[in-house]
Amino acid sequence: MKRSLCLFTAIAAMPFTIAWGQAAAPPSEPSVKNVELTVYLLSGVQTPAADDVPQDLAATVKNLHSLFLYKGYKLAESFILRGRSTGGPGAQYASTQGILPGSGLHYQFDYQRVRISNEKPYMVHIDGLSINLTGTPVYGTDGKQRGSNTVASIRTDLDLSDGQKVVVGKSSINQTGDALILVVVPKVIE
Amino acid sequence: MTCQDCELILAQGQVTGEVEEHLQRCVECRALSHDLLANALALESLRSEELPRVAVQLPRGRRVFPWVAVAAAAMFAFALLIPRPQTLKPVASPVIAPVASRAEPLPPPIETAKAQPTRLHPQKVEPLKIKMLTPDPDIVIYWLIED
Repeated sequence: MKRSLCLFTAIAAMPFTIAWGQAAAPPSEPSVKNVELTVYLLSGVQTPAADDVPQDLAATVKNLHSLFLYKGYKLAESFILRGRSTGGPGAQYASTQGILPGSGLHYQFDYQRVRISNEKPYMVHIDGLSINLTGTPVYGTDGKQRGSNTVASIRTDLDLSDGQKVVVGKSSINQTGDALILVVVPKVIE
Repeated sequence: MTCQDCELILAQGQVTGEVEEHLQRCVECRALSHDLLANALALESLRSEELPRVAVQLPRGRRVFPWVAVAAAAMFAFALLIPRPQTLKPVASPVIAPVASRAEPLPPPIETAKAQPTRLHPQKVEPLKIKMLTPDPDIVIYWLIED
């Protein structure tokens, strides 16, 4: 009975609340914000090995050790990708690529769109985040590149809080059962 | 390059320079390319999986099939060896009457609607995403599991 009374009161008050909100809040314009993604590309290895990650990721790797049975975690690459959320439709695609030192694998990191909430603490939503690791390019007899072999890839949508370390991982990317792990840290710049 | 051209080349397992340029621009084709690659990886990983052994017990009964087959074959051979009487009578060849042919105009061609090519985008199957909370609220772990 008490719960029903609360529900009734809430429903009855809704039109007043909406009307007050419309009167008080100015018409919101899509705000343009920049977002800086710091991305760490790690590998979780099955063979015994000491961790080789920067100090910023020590706590993250400690959590990974408590959840997974990988013997060690190594940093393969890190980079910063800066993009913009226009708050409306339009191209907000951003990408970067490079070569992983040591392995010689080529990587491409991109996302389709990033959206940032208007209020603090900012929430960052990334659509179509993707990383693709490819091997040595294959060339035809005419010398033109015919393609390349994909070694591993990750593609997903993500919701992140500003400054939060979000880990995205995938197991068994190769025969030895290693894992591909991305650590994404967003920073909203006003 | 159109999306259809790109899909056809991707379906053949090739990635040319033109395709890569197209993939840079086209979101759908890039998603298709990723899906195809993920499928290829998944299939490759299945190569090493051992199939479970299934014990199948066949019904045990009298095996009559060989004897029936042998009997049928013998009867067929016997039927071939029996000489058949030649009862065919000579038939006069038919007389072909001359037919006056008249050239009639062909009916106009029927216009058929051109079939629109269907896109080859497969239904996207998102990997299973497991969210793991850690003691540190600033660290969230997502693990992707693909079939």
